Amino acid sequence: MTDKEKFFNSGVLTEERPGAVLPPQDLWESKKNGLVIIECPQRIPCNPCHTSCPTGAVLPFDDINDTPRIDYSKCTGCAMCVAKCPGLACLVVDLTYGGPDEALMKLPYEILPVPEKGEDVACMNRTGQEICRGKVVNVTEPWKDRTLVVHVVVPRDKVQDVRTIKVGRVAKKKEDDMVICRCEEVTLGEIREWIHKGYDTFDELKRVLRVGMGPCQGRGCREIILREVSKITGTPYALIPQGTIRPPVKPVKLGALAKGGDK
Amino acid sequence: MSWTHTADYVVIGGGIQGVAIAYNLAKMGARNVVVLEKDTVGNGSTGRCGAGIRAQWGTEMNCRLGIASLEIFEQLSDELGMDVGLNQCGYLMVAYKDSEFATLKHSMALQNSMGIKTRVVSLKEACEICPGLAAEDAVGFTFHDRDGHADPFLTTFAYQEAARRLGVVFHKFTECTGVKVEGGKVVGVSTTKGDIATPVVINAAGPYAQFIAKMAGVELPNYSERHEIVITEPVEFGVCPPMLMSFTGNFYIQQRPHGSIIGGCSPEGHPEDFGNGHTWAFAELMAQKITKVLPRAKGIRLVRQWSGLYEMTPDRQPILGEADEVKGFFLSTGFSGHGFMLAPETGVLMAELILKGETHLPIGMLHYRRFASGELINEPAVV
Amino acid sequence: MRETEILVIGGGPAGLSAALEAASLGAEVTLLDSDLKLGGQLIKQTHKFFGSKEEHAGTRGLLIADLLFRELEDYKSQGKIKVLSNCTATGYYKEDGVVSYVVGEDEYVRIRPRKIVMATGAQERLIPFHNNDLPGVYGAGAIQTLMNVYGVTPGQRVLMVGAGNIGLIVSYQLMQAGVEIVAILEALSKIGGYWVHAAKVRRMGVPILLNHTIKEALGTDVVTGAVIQEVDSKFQPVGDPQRVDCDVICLAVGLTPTCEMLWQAGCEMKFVPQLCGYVAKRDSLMRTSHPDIWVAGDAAGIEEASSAMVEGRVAGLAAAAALNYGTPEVLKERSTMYHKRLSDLRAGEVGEKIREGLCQVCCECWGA
Repeated sequence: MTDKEKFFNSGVLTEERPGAVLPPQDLWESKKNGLVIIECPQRIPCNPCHTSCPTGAVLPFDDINDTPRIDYSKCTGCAMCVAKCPGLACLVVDLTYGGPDEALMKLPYEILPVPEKGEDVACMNRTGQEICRGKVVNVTEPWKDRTLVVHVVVPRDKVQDVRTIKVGRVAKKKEDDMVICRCEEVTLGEIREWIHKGYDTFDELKRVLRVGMGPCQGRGCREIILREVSKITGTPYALIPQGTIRPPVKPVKLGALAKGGDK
Repeated sequence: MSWTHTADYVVIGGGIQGVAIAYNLAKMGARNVVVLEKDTVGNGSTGRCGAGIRAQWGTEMNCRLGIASLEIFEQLSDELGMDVGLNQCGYLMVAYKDSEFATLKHSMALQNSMGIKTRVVSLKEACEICPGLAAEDAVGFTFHDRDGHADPFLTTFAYQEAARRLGVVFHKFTECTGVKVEGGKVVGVSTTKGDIATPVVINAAGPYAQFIAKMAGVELPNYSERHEIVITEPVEFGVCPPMLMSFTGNFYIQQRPHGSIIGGCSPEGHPEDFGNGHTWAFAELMAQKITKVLPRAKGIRLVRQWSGLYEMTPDRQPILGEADEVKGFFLSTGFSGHGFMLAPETGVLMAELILKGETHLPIGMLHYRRFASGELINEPAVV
Repeated sequence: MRETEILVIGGGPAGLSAALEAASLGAEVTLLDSDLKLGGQLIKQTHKFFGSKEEHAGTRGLLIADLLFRELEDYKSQGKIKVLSNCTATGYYKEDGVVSYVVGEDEYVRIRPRKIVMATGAQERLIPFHNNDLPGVYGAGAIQTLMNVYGVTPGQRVLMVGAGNIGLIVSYQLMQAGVEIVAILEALSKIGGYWVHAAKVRRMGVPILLNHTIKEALGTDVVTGAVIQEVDSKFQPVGDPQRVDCDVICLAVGLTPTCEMLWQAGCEMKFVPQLCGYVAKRDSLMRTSHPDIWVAGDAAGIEEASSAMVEGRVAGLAAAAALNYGTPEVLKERSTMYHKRLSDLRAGEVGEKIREGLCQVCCECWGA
């Protein structure tokens, strides 16, 4: 087996094949907004690239197992297929974008953290090696299904190789995601949101979020929550009402209670 | 928050009645609506109630209010833009006496004539609706599958948030201390935070409504009863799928969507007071009732007990309308333990009455004149 | 319904002392404790106590408990003290002064006492950080229970959060049990516990990182590490967070008085930072604003076990006296002695905080 075959068999495209062709060069260089590239060289039963295409550029499938064929004269570079393809096999390359050494790539992306506009990102080739840096200029979510299309500016000579990006940052855990009321699993962010809306007493927060209503009855979280209220409203902790503390202090089985307490 | 010196409408009471009226006033185009709440919104009877919603009533008036409210509840989350926790699990009424079953069936005929599809179910069916139900001693059951419960906190807050978006101003920790009347008309209110000049005051003060009315020179026969409730730790949903209710068994029991079981009843001799105290006797009594009708709940632990006030009237029917003695003084009080479930409809009716002088459903018989004339509407179906 | 003259809730150092004192004057006492074995935190204390001879200084806490148990045996055999262990009080009903409790999980009982001493102790505070609910995150009290009551170590490598006395002592006890302490974190720029407790662990090579706090527990099913962060005096991060490997994170960030039933009883409560939370106002004989309820020990404000034992004596004495036990001479003599011991214990530099706290909640006597 040749190296090329080995690569291909491990999921790396090494040359043009049916279902994985480049656009005609002339049209490509002049087409504003770019043209789609689909790298889908295996016959599998799948056609969303066609069904999602608003212009009919991705041609109808005679057999759903066909590899995709493209009428480039109809492609507008809209990237709807980019966001739809379950195999993340579609991308758009716009050679008209920016300066003579630049090009814009619209790449599908489903990893956290979400790239931000203006962010400098690593650009990876088909085997996952970083080959250059790119700059994110836009991030869209065409189908509102959490598959993003990242618009990234890359060196023009790398468009044949760059196939994804990597965001350098680690997904940052936000302080707001911290669970404060463990019984009812309420986060700091939710608590802060409602305090800012004016729900700044323990009773109100309890009612709207259920904090402190679980089996521990606020033992673990009451103080933390009221300190947050104090921080946000500026009211000294000692002046914030603690809310009513009701029995039982510890949960009691209904069966035990039902027998009555006269012993 | 800056003080509001003048308003077109002042609502006294930030319970479900007050917020629903304020929201509907604003929705129908009223501006400068202010709600006064002496504690925090939902801290009174609303936030302490059993959360049930039903159309299974025994009088035509309550059936109309009940079904209309239910219809509003069914789309309320969308309308207000916040989930109100509606769970249409149905009310399964349990009759332990032949006379009680006869009353239920009599009410059912009335309900059916109004399009409320209540039906009699057998013990076998009742056990399918509520697996684990132990009611071999019951003589009959009725069931209406559109009944159920909603979250009183979230419903109240959803009204509050929606009303705020429409410009309604809420003042919490602000207690009404006086209603000013000149020449038989309302001209303003005094509060612990300052005065507000206004031509319209809506008394939605729940268990304190009779005191607010007195400030305006209006005598109401309302009184308050303390009722207690217990709640358990959350357990897997399905221990008590419907709302269970019985008049002679004297209980209502339901499971919140997040798993806690709530139970209440009306033991003899409710203290007529304004305390929100709790008693061991109630915790024990309610545990007995729950474990009798749902034996498999024995191992579930009670986590909290509390109490709230029923704002009673002599015929256990609400008082809606404008005071005869004082123009501009409106009443939405005396719901006798059922204010939460009726509020979506009464909020609309009151807003109509205030803004247009007429309502899409006649509510004249709910005026407090009925107590003087003796035309009471006695509702048999209350716990 | 069960009845008793004096119900002491909590069988730790304060509660035991209160029960013994009240019984010594002839009162009939019921002592309620949630654990299987009496003694509260005392039986977990393998270290020697500070204080004076009267409070058994230089004796290990668990042996002090034994001394109290021995005293208790006499009263038990005379029927003056009835011990209800494995019984957790679940509520106080102020309309009729009834206390409810559960025996284990399955039996529920009510009791109507004439007087109550609330010696309910303290509960551990928590601090918020990511994954703080991961198995392997413990409170220091839980670790002491595991190790010193049941003989089980919680893990191999412990990150201790908090350098107050509890954090320092539990670190030392863990090392005695052969467990490695990766580090002790302290958010302030000074350790909170006794210096000698710190020196004991420092000389064994344990780093105490001042101005450091925990940001996150690492791991998916159990704790495998932690992210720690240096902070400035306003608790704002300084520099990059660091990762440490550990399988246990022990929180020793302080205690707060357990006072649910005091709230339920309607006792006048006040937030006193020096006593670590809300505490009941009390007179010099530990009586709260509720005429039938006294407080003692950590429930009255977080302090050492030595003073808890003396406070318990005072409360037990006063509760018994309220039922006309003891002569005025005996009461005067004993209360003077106990007050002297308390003021000695609180006299030094470390007692300053307690003194500041107490002057905010102590009144000479109620209503007089």
